[in-house]
Amino acid sequence: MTDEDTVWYYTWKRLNSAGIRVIGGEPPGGSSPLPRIEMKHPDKTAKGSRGSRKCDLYAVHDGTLLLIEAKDSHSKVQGDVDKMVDIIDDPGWAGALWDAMDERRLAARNGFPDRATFVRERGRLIAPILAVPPEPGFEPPEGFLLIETDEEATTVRVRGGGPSGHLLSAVTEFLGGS
Amino acid sequence: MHRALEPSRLVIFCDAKHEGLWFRDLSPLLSDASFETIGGRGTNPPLIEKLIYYDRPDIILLYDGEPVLVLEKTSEVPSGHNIGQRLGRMVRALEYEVPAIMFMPFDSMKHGKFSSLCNLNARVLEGYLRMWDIHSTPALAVNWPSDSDWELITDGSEDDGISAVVHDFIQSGFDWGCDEFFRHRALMAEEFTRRVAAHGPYGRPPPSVKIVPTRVLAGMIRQRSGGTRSLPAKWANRPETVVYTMGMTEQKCKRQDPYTGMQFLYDYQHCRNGPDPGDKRRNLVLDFPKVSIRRWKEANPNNPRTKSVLWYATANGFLLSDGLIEVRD
Repeated sequence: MTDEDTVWYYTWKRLNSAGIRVIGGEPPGGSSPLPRIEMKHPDKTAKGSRGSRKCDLYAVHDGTLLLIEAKDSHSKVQGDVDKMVDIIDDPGWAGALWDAMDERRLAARNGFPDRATFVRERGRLIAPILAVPPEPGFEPPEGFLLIETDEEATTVRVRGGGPSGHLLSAVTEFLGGS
Repeated sequence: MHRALEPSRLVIFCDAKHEGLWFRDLSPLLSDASFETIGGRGTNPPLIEKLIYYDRPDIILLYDGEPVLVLEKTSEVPSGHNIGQRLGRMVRALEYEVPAIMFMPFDSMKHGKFSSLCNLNARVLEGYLRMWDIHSTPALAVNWPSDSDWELITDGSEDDGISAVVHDFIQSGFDWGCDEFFRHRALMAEEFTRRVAAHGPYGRPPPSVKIVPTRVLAGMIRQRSGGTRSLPAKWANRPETVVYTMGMTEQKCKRQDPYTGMQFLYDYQHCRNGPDPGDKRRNLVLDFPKVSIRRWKEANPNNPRTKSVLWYATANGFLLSDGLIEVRD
């Protein structure tokens, strides 16, 4: 069985290899080699991480920020689906995401210089992705890209579509059509 | 040492699986290596237990059941005292004659409320060179490069340097004299010289560390203990003593990081002349002027099952607000 750490690692590595820029994230057990991007709760002004949210990986491609959540089974993804939908739907959370990137100078560096535009256009500028071990019977939710990976190979597909081993073109197509 | 490598005999013990996968990708010679997770204290094979006695490294590579390399990876810039948190695990490897590599940024941007460029505490480079000489075992710091904005590179190319070192070492049959080890040793020496030239204080101990005549220490011991303690006899054989002062209070003295790691750095830089912690040309005394003996023993016992055991790893003793605890001759 492919564990969550392995899914996280190969998602990161193979996106990088495909030319898709991974800009941040944190593996399941913490201790990240990547910048940690943590969204503070929009209603919370005090210090601390209570109520905050973070995604496992963040990547940028074609001017879109990809939120990626990794799990070791499709049966565990619903919480992550809800979280990512909320981040994209809720202007407060989208703003918190821009603030978290800006704190590490990642917003402007990756083509998102203006907070107001990022929040206003969040449906176009942010896209959700799930990463799991290969599970042919599983259909991702509408609007999500599914990465299926283990140590051997990585493929991607959307709901109702077939798997593709060409990450770059598949992600580009997904963003063009999302 | 040169031997025909059988990759299936390689085992990667890792603190987290993704770290093990990352390490395996550094060399095609590791592609058949198997993985084991470093467990909690008392749950690992005896050899692993010995190597994690001070602290857990990210990677321990075994060949034929013998440890051949310890590696620690961090994206944190080793400025100031940060580096101390990871020194113990490196030293422990060297004590067991296992080469140790630290893969870390030498310079990179720190983010947050007070964003700034952070530079390596260059003393650590001299510390590694001294550790290598004293244990006759390679101790390397390999740079995790940054881009032109001082942001850490994370596109995969950051691994080129560390990959070359690890691959060359394995390909050489774990030869401590392999080219990459000595190329990086030279780089460390050059970096130390360059950084001290740019920032003179790195060529001297920091303000918290004083090198004093041992007779001065004798006076401090008498004064703190109200005249009830004198200088231990064998300490008097060393004319000088390094006093490392930490301002911890009684309320906040139950801690190790980063001080327990920094004691190793100052020990190797200024005191040690042999592989055993007792091999010193200067005494090393840890000074806690705001903590009493009673409170110290309560908060930081010499208990192998806790991290506080690190306090007892190398110093000759502790100078406390009301006296002295002697640890070794």
